[in-house]
Amino acid sequence: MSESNKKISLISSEGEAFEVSEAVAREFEIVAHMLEDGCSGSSIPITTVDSNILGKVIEYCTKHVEVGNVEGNSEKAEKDLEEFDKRFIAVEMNTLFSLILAANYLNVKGLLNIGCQKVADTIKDMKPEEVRSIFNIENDYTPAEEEVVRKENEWAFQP
Amino acid sequence: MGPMKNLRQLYLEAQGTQCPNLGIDLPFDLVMEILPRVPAKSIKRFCCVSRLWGYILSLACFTELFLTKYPCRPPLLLFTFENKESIFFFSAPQPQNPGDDSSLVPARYNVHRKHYPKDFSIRVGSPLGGFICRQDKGKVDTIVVSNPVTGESIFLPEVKSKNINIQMIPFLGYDPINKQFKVLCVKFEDVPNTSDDHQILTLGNNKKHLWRTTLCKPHYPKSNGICIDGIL
Repeated sequence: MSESNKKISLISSEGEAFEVSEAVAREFEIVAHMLEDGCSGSSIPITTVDSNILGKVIEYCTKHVEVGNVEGNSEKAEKDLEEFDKRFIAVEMNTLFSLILAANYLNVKGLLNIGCQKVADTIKDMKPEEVRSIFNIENDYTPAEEEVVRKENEWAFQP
Repeated sequence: MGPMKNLRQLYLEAQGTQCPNLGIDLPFDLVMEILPRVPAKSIKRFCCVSRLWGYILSLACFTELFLTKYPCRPPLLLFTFENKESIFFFSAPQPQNPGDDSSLVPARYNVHRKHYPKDFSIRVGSPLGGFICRQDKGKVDTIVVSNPVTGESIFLPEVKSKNINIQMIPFLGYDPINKQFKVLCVKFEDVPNTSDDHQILTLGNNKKHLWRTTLCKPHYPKSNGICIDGIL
């Protein structure tokens, strides 16, 4: 198929061009829609995503397209992909948030899903103080108010 | 309106009056993409994060989002037994694969002995939505609705009965249309074993609990009853 040989340039917020196959670019639903709407240009600006994150998202999509193209041995391929996802998402929180924002903007559902799940798994056993620092939230309870809410939900603080 | 749309609306309103943001680093919709994935216990703990989180996470539409967005949580089995003067409650994830022996080992027990001092029940109804309904041992005219996970209990007003020999059986039901839990109390005399007195109480957040009598044919309850889609 000639379609899969076609190259598309994705331009990051810094203006850096990333050349990818059309199949990979179509993993970005936002790009897929542009192409369907007749946008025939070979370079597409992704103005809200920087080079570092765009590169990572492309890496993710490339891997998923590659595995999707391999025929047979699907169980092993699926395991491989799971392993890849796990490694891919094992990044520090700021990068993870940037990946989630990019996946949301570009509409890469698989990446958005594993990203949100990773954050959920990371925070689920945390104390409120730790959650505040992760999401950069200021505690606006007075100590007395906080004590009341804590008491109401006391069971949730027990191991 | 879906729960997410409702939530967004309430969030925007609260944002104006309470505090400037939910989380600086992620937009509201994405935070709401993450939070329904943590266990209910974490949600309750996160109510302490900030006023806005406490407000949002306590909203009925957040609960709806939480319950419907990722409905693949394994159902929990609830065990109960009485020993001397305590009731013990245990919960365990329901094994999803009957052939898998390891999943039969309960991951975590909840023992809530301290919440049930000396008033163990005579009748514990079938659990529904994580709640149980039981007769109080100390005062048999009183029905108690409890959440065994949090250890919270509410005592309902006494059920009036003319005759001291009258027994009663509590049933817990859920009305999926109005989203309300209701308690049905069927009273019957030992001899003859008939029942023509049925009282219903609707459980609500801030409402005063009142029993109302419902007229229907006599029923002869043989079991603790199961509520499915609002039908007991």
